[in-house]
Amino acid sequence: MEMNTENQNRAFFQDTFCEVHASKSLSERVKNMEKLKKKKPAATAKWLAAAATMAVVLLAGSNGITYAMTGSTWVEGMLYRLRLKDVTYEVPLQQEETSYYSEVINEADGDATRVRISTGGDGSLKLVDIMTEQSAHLSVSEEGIWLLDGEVDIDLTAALEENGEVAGSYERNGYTKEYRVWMKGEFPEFQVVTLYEGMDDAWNDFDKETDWKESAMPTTIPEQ
Amino acid sequence: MNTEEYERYVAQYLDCIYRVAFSGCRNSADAEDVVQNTFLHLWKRGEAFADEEYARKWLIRVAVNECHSLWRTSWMRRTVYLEELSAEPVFSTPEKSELYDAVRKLPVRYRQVVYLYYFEEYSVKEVAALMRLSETAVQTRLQRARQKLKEALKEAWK
Repeated sequence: MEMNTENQNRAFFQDTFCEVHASKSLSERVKNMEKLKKKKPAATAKWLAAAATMAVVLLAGSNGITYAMTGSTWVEGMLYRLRLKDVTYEVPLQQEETSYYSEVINEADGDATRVRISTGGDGSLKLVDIMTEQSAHLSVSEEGIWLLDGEVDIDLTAALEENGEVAGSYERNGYTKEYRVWMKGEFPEFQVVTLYEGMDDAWNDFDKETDWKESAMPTTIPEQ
Repeated sequence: MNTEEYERYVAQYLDCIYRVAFSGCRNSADAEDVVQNTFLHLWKRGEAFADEEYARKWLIRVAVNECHSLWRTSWMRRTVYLEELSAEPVFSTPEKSELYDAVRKLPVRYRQVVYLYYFEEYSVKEVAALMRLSETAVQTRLQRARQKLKEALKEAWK
């Protein structure tokens, strides 16, 4: 008897919610993520930002000399090509004191990435760091406090209640991410850092990435 | 995962994920955000799934996570536009409309459990795994949801 009523309820429920559909506009939006599709990274892509950055910075300098010789006002910045997980971006490079930096939005991953390099007195360039704004976030609800990052979810509730702070790591998209979460008053705060292994290798392989050298160009047309 | 595979997953699971999202959100606009984020995660995942059941569970799991995330951010969203609230489905019978309304009036924490159990036909154990809850918690929510549905629908809910 119990099974019968439960089955009747289930059939009623299914008949009802079968009539709930995603709208056509939502369907189109989800299907046509064209930008994302075009910039999809290869699953086995390596982190090559460092090599690309260095290559373009060298060329950006030569553009600057060209415009200075024509008497034009110097441009706000320069485009340079950045290769990030096998996707190429043309982004402006900006100077900040002795270092240059730039931010790109890796649309395939949805992460904003800042690449920072420094210039030495001898003209040498050095990668300082690569920082990625994290897709990870905290969920605070009646379910407790969870760290969510795509398909990754970690229940932090008990550890935070006990210690007021918790740290650990997880794997996502082929990278190791380290997190630290702590309570500030009644609300949690957190920090997640992606560990990019192999950056040194990418940097040392710079000379092999010669295809970048034709791409540097100014972001704005100089005044005549 | 190539474009064809992605579009096949969209065609196959869009309604399912929309219903999961709708059962975990306060309005259709939030549900649409959840759906888009869920399929964005699918695209970013890159690789195809080993089997269809794993794909379904993976997508539901991500959608549940996205709903959790939305609950947090919605605390700060004071403004909900009227048209977002009014985009409700139209049903073929009054009884279905009443059931839908009764389910929508359930606390959010009960709705997804009810949906996964009754519509997707997942067992209590499977719902617990998908929702990251204990089986006891799932059973408790189901029991309370049944009581509320019975109170609201009277004879229509057995």
